[in-house]
Amino acid sequence: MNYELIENLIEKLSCDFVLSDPNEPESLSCLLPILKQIHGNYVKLSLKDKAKKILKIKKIIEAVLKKPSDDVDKNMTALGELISELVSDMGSSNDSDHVIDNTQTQSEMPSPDDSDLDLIEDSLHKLFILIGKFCPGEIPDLGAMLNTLDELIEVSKEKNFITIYEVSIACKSYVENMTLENIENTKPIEEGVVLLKSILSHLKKEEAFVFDYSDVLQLLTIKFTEDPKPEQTSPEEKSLEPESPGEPEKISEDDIEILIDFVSEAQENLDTIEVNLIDLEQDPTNNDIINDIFRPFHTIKGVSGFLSLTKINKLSHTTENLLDSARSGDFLINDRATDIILESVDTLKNLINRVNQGISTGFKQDDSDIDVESLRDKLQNLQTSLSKGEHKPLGEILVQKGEIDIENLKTALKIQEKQPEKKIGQILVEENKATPNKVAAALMEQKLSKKQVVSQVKVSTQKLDDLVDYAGELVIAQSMLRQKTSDNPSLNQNVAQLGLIVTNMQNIAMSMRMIPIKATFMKMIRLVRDLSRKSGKDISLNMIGEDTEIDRNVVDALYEPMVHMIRNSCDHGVESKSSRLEQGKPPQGRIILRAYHKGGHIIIEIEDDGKGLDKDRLFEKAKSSGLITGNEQMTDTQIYDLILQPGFSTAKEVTDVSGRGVGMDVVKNGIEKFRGQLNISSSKGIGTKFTISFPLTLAIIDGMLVRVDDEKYVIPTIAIQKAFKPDKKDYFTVEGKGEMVKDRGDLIPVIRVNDIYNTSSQKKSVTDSLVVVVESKDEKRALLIDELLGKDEYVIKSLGTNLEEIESLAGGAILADGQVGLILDIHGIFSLVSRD
Amino acid sequence: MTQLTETINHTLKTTTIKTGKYLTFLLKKEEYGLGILKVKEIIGMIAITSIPKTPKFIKGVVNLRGKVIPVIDLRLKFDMESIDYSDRTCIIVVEIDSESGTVLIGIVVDAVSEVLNIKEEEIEETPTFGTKLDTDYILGMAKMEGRVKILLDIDKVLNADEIATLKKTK
Repeated sequence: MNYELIENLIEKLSCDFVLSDPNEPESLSCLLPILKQIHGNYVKLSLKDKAKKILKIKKIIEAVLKKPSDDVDKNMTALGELISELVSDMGSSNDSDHVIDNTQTQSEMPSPDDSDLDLIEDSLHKLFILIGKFCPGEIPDLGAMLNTLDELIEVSKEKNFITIYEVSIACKSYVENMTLENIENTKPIEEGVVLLKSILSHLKKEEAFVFDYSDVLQLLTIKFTEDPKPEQTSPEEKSLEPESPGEPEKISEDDIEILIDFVSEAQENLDTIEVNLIDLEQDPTNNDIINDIFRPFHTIKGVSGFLSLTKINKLSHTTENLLDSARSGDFLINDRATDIILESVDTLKNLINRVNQGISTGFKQDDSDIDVESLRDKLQNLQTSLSKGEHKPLGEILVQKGEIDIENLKTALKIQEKQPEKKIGQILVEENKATPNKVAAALMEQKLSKKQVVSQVKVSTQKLDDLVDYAGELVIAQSMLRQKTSDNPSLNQNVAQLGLIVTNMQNIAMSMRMIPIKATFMKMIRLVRDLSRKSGKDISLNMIGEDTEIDRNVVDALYEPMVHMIRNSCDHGVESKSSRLEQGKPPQGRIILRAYHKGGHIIIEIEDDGKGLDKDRLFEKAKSSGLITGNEQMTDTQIYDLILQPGFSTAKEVTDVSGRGVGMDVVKNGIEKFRGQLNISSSKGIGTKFTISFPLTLAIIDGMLVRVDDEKYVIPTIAIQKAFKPDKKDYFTVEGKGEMVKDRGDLIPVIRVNDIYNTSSQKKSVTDSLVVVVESKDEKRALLIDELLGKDEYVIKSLGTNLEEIESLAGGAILADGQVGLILDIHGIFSLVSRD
Repeated sequence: MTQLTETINHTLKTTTIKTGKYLTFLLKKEEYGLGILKVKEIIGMIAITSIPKTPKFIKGVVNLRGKVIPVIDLRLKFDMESIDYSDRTCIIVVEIDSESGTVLIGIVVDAVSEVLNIKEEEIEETPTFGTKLDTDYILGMAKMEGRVKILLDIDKVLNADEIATLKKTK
């Protein structure tokens, strides 16, 4: 195939040459792109001699173009000869068609011979040193480089390492060009060598090198085709970088489906990358984690290439290259690398968001404002600089962690110089600098932290929700059945058995929606990391109970509030290093994230050891801003809750992190929307603790069914303190209207449910009814009801889109008799009453 | 050219909407029609749980095989006097398009009569009644067998103001 292509190209070349006007050497420039194509194809077919010939032609043309006056005729004849030679070659080598094809089809993965590989490695090493000490303008160095490259080319050709061959050829032509054109930029060749190295390491592991290295080749050949007239860029280059067209391009229906899949998968992948990167920062040598980061990038690259999402493809590809070198042990990922990979993740997220927007609008979104090239340059620079040995050695990291001191490390390093095969950890143990116990413990920890890969199935959340719904229905149907069969003993037993199965099934269905909170916590680590860098404070984040499982929907509810609170803790809570030291606190601030289950609720605590909330200042601030009159008797909790009021901020200055006074009220609303509660406790100078509690699941509620006149309501059990029938002596009124009941010395305001809901106007005597004492946010009220009907679990149903937002109702529940009961939102009722 | 195609498309659309099968029902002796494709099912009267703090025409919610759906009394919606429900009273469950996809809503009517095939030529434009009657949600009037049936655009009946009012009750 390639062969035919070459034949056509050469034909074209000779025609064009004949047509070109000898008196106008400029016209020769149109031959260059053709030459480049032929050259590329020859290289692919490993026809080195022919490729060289092409290069020669090219050089002559370039010379003509450069100095048109010199010996045009002579050059032209030389060109003519060379080209006719090519054409005649074509004819003669027609027979060798098969042979050529053979060389190409020969396996890309020959069984590597160690000695050959060593040879290549040596050459590469030599080349590396040469490049390292290269001074511009020194021809001898370039000569040495050429020699080394020739060695490489020879060995790789002999052994059929096609990829190495190809790259070396490109490198060589670049070096040749350096000599000719006095180019001093060694960056492309560095890239080339890094690429060669990684190919080599793959060969050693007998793995196929499957990565796209075309950009490196391009980099090497761009200079190579750069002719005196820069506007004469080759057609391929233009097609490689399609400029975003002015009008948005329509996305076809088929593509949309693939794109949707890609977006959801990529977003998930990027999230795992983030989490893993942070893991990696703690343990930079762990190849498994690097692999875990590498794979998603690889997937994104592959799919985006297929979908021709150029920017995503390029960026993920470059990042992948960096990681691949890290994976093959060229260097360790340090903070700089982590920062930049995170940047790349963020950019990719932006790009993918654009794609997502594109899906929803049906048109390709313009992403030209998102700059990937500078980021790619950064990545590439980093890769080269790290490969050159600027990486932070393991020992240094150990020192940083406080495991060993610098002196120990130095001695260990000296020993390592003598015994290069030994690992630093091993030496340290042998030299009794670190106890084997410690190392073993660390190793154990490392092993424990390794994630167990359990085979998983991806299911759309819609299906899961449906399953949960139906499981809920089944519970209802089952309890209806139980009521009807209660007087039939034999059936009763079967129904009981059914009940057991149904309950188990429902539990499983529920647990399927549960995910560990770890992923959310991990995001917080990233946040704290970024914030502490930005503010110059040293803050560590500890997590406790990150394996606690919570409902998927709660995770979504949790994220925003947590971000806000962590920001607050970092910005306002934890003090600067100097002021911490003054107070005798450790310089490093600490934020603890804690998650645990407690009585059907999941509790999340965010605790910092910062300066704590200043009660007096909060009080003053609230007074001056008119939130309170200043005469109130307020409990500590009430004072702390002031910060949850809209527009309340005690921050003296506004930073870009927080302090604009919007925030905590948003946090509160966000949490309460999901039936959560937020409590604050704090002590001045010691720290603040925010406690968020959410119901374990948002789908089921433990409730008490009550009757008020003919209406039935479900009161969430969690809110109920007690229910009792008040005595006449416990009933008081204020001005004949405000009603209260006394319960063991507490005076509790009474709410008449039929009153607030206008279901009936009859005024029942309190002593004839029951009161249920309910609590929300430390406030108590007594709900006046007629009858308690029983306690059960209720599946919460939305009342439908139109009725969703009715205050004081949390939703509907299907009762055992098939009717719909309304679930009361206690907090909503309180605010409803206080407003009326 | 484009204008022409637009007009054609528009006519096509309106005809396809208007011609077709209609479920007719009674409200205070008036006959109404409702595009059959909008109707999911018809159920007899079942217990409705009333919802406090909502407009009067919202009767409440019912349990439709595990789904909670709101029910609207069309008499009250059209400002007619309410009557006691009888055994002829029905709930027509319709599927309406809203911003958040399709939703099921039940509408209480006096009685369901029949399914009719109504052709375009039998349908007349809605006359205007001035300010006292909003005819926005009336597709047209069908004259059949000497009687007039009022064809409703149920999406408009239940969507526009209602969602706005409901959101306001918050």
